[in-house]
Amino acid sequence: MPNHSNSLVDPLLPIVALGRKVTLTAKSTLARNPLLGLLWKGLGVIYFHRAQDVAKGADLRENVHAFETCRQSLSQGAAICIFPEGISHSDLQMRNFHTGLARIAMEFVRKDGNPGGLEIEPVGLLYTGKDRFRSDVWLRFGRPLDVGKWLDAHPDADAAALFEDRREMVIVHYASEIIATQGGMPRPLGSVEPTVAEWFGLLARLQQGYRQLLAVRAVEVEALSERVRRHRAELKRLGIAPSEVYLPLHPARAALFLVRELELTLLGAPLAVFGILNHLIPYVAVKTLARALSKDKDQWASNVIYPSFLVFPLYELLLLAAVWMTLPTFWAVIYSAALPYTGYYALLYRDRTGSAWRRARTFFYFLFHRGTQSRLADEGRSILSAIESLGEQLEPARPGAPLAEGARG
Amino acid sequence: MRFRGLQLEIHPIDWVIVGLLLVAVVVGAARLRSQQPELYPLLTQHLSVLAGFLAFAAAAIRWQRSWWVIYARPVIAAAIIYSLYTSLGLLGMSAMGYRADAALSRIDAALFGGTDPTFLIEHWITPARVELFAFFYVLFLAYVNLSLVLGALGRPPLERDQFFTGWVSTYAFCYLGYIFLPAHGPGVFHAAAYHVPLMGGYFYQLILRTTAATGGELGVFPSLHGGASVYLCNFDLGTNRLRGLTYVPIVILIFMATVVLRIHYVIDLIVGTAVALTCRRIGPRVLGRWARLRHAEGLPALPGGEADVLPALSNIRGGRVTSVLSAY
Repeated sequence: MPNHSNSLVDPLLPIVALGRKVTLTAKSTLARNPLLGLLWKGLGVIYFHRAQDVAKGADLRENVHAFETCRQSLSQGAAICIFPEGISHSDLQMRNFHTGLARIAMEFVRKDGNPGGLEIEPVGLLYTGKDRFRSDVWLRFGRPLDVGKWLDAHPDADAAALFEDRREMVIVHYASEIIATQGGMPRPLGSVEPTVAEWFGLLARLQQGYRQLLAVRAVEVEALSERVRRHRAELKRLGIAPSEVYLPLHPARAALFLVRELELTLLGAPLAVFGILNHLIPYVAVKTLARALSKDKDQWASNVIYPSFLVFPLYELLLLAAVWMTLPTFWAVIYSAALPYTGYYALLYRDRTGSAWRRARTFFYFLFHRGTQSRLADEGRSILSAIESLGEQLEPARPGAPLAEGARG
Repeated sequence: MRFRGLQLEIHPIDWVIVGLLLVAVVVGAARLRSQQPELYPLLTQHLSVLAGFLAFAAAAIRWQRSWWVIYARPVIAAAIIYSLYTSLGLLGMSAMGYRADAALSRIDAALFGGTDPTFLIEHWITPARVELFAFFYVLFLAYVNLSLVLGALGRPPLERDQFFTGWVSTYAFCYLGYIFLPAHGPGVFHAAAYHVPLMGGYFYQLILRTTAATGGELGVFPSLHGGASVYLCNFDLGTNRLRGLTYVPIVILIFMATVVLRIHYVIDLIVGTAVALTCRRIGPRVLGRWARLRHAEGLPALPGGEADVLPALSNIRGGRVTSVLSAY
């Protein structure tokens, strides 16, 4: 039972994470797409017919059959993935649950005798930037709900009651970016980043603290939130990342940065150029297609990934065929090995040179506007200190405890 | 109890270097009677280096909270490792009454269907190709030294010490091969059998001059050109992926260069790679465990008192620092 924020990418994640066969479910209108329909038929997807799709040909009576298929699968010990919100969206919080999942579960227990002991496992899917290439995602399994036991305890409950109090909010808070800076020097480009689980762990703790404090110290929290928003807005206007506010204007560090980035920029340029030239056409094609097809942020990744499965291998096959027909075997082998490697390399290279350029620009901006840097840094540290001081009020027994301690995904 | 205290005080890098120097001294001393004229200066040299390094290790313990220890150790370790490059090769050649060339060449021939690979590529050798590969062979030095500088200055403290522990271990284990399995390499061993002599330009001449200046081809098994470059590349792939990927083709070319230039047997490269990957895996773990134990005993986790790394110590998974976020 995952939340649903990234269209056709979401169902792939539980399958990969669980490493077992998972029966997927989807809205009936997706079956009309010939390519997807073929793929999903192979995967044994069960289609649900939604009321809002009746005008597009959905037949609500078909749901009886779909529910039965689900129960049969459960009887055979299968795992079924159902998105209870029934729609993919970009809202900051979860939408109301449809009752289909609860009805299937309750009927399975009450009518089929609950063979195997059905459990509903909440799954949280959080993306760092779902509308970006190579976004990180955090997949977290919640505490499973033993449906049989729950029904024993609530014999008269209806389907809507099953998931009350089980929704989770997702809030991306600017404060987390400020906390992540630690008020200190930014990490070197290309170094190991904190894991996405730790990042969302920090967000979850902040969110929890924010909610608690909002109830008891609303005025302080609102004032601090306003400062955070103002600080973030100014950084955005200047094109400076929160982590780079504390960039040291030290000549030796700048020289080290220059050596490190120049080494990669110069040595990597031939590989990156090769990769870019050989993948530019499918890259632009997929991007254009995704832009044309995506009406909302939650569709972007699906419209990139699924066409990419087809476009990139086909294009590379065409290239390789041409190369093996025209070049000597030795060079054809080299080219074949270099093609996927340089394609991946070009993506990393573009990210890295972009980051290096931004950091260099920030360095020079601060070099000529030292007052601005010290003001921004003071404000950042002051916000950090205010958050920590509020946090201590939540955890009076552990002053100075790290904010993200215990956050593991 | 006393040994445990010492174990926590002495940095793993120091243990490795002291161990290697002790092996050199013991081998030199054991073979002194039969090989006296050649071994005496080598034994004296290694004993002096050992005494000097022990003095440094003692000073590093005495002033373990001082900032200079952080930078002195990598510099001194690298200086000693480089100085041993020639001296241990000479020691192996002088102390051992045998050469491993015949066995290494046989293994290579077995790997390549009965013929030493340097003969298989002989017809393909041209001065231009020799010069091209000589360039990549020389590039190794730039790669290693730039990596060391960036490793010493540009990495977070724990990662930096892990990096150097693995690097020093790679060299130390490969040097054991230099001592116990001395060999000259295919270029010397098969010198009379080649039909195509190697001729190149500036870079090839540079290699010849450098080799002659350091006493000739002394010690080739396992290959440090292979081992060290694999270690550096592999470490970067885990901590700075783009740099690691950038050097993958260069490492492959360095491997090819050692064979084309008839400096290494293929088995040297294979064993060098195995040593490097083992040290890449074990070195950071050993360092991480050592730092955790020191932290638990109330000592600074790393010499130099770099307390900023402490929160990361609980997150060393598979020898890789995965998180510093818990410090926020």
